[in-house]
Amino acid sequence: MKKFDVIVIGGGHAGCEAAHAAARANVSVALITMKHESIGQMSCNPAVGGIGKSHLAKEVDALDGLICKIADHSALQRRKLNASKGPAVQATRIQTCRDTYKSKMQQAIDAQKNLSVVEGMVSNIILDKEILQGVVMSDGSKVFAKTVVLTTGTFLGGKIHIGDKSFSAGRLGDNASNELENFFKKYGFSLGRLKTGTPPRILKSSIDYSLLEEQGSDKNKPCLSYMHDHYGQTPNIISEIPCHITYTNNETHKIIKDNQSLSPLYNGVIDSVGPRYCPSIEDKVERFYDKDAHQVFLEPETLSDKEIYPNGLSTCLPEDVQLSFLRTIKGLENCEITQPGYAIEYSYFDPRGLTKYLETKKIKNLFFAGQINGTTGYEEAAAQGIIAGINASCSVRNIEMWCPNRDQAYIGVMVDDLVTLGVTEPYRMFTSRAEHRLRLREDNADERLTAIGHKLGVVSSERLLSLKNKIQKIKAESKRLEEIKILPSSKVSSILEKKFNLKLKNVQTMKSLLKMSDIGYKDIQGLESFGKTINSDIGHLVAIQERYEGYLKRQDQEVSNILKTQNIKIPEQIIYNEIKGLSNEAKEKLSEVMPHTLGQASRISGITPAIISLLRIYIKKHSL
Amino acid sequence: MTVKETIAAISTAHGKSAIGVIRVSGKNVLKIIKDFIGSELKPRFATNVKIREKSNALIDDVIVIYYKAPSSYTGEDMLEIQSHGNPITMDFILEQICDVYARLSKPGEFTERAFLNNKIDLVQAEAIADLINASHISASKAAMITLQGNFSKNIELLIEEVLALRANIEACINFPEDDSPDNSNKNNFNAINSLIAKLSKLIKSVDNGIVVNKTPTITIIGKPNVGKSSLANLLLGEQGSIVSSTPGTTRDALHHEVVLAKNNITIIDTAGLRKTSDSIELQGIEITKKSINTASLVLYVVDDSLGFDTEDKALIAENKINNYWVVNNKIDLTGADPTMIKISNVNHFNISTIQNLGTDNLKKKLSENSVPDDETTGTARLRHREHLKSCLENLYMALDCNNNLQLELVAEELRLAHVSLVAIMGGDVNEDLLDKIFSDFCIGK
Repeated sequence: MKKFDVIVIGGGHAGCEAAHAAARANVSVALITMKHESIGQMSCNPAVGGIGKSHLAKEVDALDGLICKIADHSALQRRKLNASKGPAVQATRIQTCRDTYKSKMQQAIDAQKNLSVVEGMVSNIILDKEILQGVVMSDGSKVFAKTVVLTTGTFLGGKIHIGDKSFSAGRLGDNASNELENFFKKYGFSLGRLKTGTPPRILKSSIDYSLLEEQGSDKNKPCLSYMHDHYGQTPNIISEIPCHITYTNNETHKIIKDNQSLSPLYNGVIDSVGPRYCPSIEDKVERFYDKDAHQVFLEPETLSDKEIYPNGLSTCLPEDVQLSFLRTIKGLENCEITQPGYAIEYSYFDPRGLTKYLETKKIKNLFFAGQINGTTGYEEAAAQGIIAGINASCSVRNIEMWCPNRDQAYIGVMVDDLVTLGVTEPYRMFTSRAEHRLRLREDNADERLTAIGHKLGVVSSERLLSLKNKIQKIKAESKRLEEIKILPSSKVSSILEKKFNLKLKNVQTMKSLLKMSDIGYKDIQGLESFGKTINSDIGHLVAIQERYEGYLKRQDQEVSNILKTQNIKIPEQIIYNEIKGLSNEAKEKLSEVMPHTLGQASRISGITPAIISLLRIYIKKHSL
Repeated sequence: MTVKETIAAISTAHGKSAIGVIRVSGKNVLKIIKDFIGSELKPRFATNVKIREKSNALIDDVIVIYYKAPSSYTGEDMLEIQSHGNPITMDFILEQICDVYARLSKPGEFTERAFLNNKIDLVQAEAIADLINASHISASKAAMITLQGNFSKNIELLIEEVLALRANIEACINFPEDDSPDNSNKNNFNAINSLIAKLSKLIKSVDNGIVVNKTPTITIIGKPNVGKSSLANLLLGEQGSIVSSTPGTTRDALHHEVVLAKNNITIIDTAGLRKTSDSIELQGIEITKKSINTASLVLYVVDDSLGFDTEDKALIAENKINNYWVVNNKIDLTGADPTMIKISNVNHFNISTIQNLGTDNLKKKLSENSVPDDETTGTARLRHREHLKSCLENLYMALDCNNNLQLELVAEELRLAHVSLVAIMGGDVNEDLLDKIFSDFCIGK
């Protein structure tokens, strides 16, 4: 009889992080997947990171997760986005080799102790008197465990559409898991339908690059993982391949318009909701009809580089129409399709059925993570995966579960949004969702989360030491700069006046110069009295802290005042129907979401400050 | 901007009375005593203090009493200011305190603090629930109902402008690789400055007290001969004592002040609206339009035998009437049931003024909708003022950051400015922003 502490169903980006995190926490884990060779598959575009997404990925990395390390090891192109816009909104993105990514991920999973991969399809969940026991495989065999993490992506009730063809599948070439869907339907889980799409893949040798704009890596080749950009390790380097940029034109748009009725998006076959930020080319042409051209990024898929991913051309028109509109685009005049674009409809669970630990409210010790919770993106999936994996292991080890707050991590923003508000379209992270955006930066996810991860048992002591070293160096450099004084009448001061139009009235420190908006670390490095930096990367981190210090102080003040109320826990045994003065609507909404704290309750739509006051009084009165 | 955890409120009933009491609770009480009075106050002793304007003109002679924590109603440091009961004086004093030291208390907040600091027992606490709920509803109702139509329209326009600017900047930040909108430093500078100008003007009008109706106003409009005047007479005749019935500025708009459900209400009976070129009639229509702008509620009267037609719809759209109910009069002619239904969130009443059918229903709804007397127009005005001022503060900061080319900080200030405006008019800061971005810009690399 196979027996484990944690079963993770699904070997995608959520499943890998969940299984690996739980195994790092020293409990025994089975990762059940249909095919070992599909573990770590990038089903959509071969890139990790981007605005908002790199923020999530770096937080996973700060908890010693896999996604950033593996992306760094399989990088074809590395870029820093928004480099000119201020550190809080800068982001790293890496184009990866799909094959290298997958095989490195499989190596990491295979090498992890406490972690076994089981091939097969799960057809049912075993419950004994409401207590989770394990799962039944489609061949009838059973695998037992105390906790189960479900990360089945688009495989639940997945249905692919290409033109008028449609068939059941989890991803092109992979089966959907329909039996499992029936179990959840029977158990009263609230299911909804979403859709997403993917563009056709193009044979590289059929593209004429001679006239296309090329986009390579940034000069300083940024990395995603703290191991590589702050803790001194170097990633595995594979050869770099640039992206290229081309554009659609009016001829392209005409073909798409003329054939609109053949697209299941427009002829009524698909009525589920797709993401507004990732529209199909049919949608772009329809909604932004006044635009003469839409940008297309031709992204390399693999190191061997036979296939190209034309980012921006998601479609589910019939294959022959796809080919004819592609061939109107500059550089693609003679292109060949290796795999047609398609739309996929899939089932998701209303995430309001989860606690913030991603445990289902209906069945204890059952966790959901990733796309089945209505999100989209590898980073969003990985971030939920690591939280579900950590919490499944916490449940096994009988220690308190954890999820970061909104002012602590983008992960906290995402989970809170999901479990409080639910989703109406596939949920993707945007930095504008985070009210603490100036605090939740790429440069400090480790400072925010690594020590917590160590306490939870998923971060090694060596890594904690690396973090401590980094923090100590920041402090030292900060102190050093504070001790360098600049007198108003000095030579340095006259340079400052000449270069930055800055007139010193009284003695300033070198550090305080960094508060000036137009003076960066590089600028003060050029000043005579600067001395010798401990490390200029560290120096830049000091400069970032100085830039935001005033803002963060102001926010801290707000946060600490608000937190007093926000962080008041609402006991699980609360019965909203018994609270006098609550409207029926409020009772219903609160009972549905079952918020963990007053803060979370206040974010439910229609929950007024008066209702929060009532709850606060009720909680205190009953000393719950 | 800091969070003010010291709270203040007028705690006596609104209206002219001999004495009014303002209460303040929280840490800043000692600061207020120091700054306003100059000397220390012995707890629980009455002291006479003169309150002056900045120009040193005497505002009022007041009695102040200091209660030292924890021996006070709320358990915190408290100050009680007894002034003369003139609402203008009291609003002035409260405004001075709220400018620097405190924020306006939420309804029931003094009692809530008393309970949380163990100053009142469980039995009393039971009653707080109802109190908070009731007064919260009153407060938000007062805030909305006392608003002049013009004021809410201006706020809505401001929100639209802030949202457009935010969408522009956030699209640049979140989707740098898509076809980004024009987001030059100069554009932002102009946009923020335009917001500041409009907001400053609005704050001035708040300071002058012209954004709130002293008494809420119900304006009756409709096409000619649908029964507007009969409806006005019906509401005046039975519902309460007619306080005054003076002709309006022209023969075409009549102002009546009545008491409805214990509240003063002004009812304006207007000239019929229709397309015309007659200059005298046009004048009357202009006046009608003005009274639509200042109304807290519009009753749009329709002749039921003619029905609510496209011309009616056009009139409502043309005059940008937001807050209105439709009254289908003359059901005695059509035989329709005297019912009330909601059609896309607008109340539709079937009535007959001649046979008195369905009119009780309308009156009942009107009195439910009237301003409750425990929230004064003064407090409603102060609430709006607080939000607008913090919005202005954020806009000035945004301008600074924009001059320094710190786009992410401009974005942060604009977010906070948006939050303040939404606090007045409602809306969802995050979702509205994403909606705007995705409808205005083609995103999707």
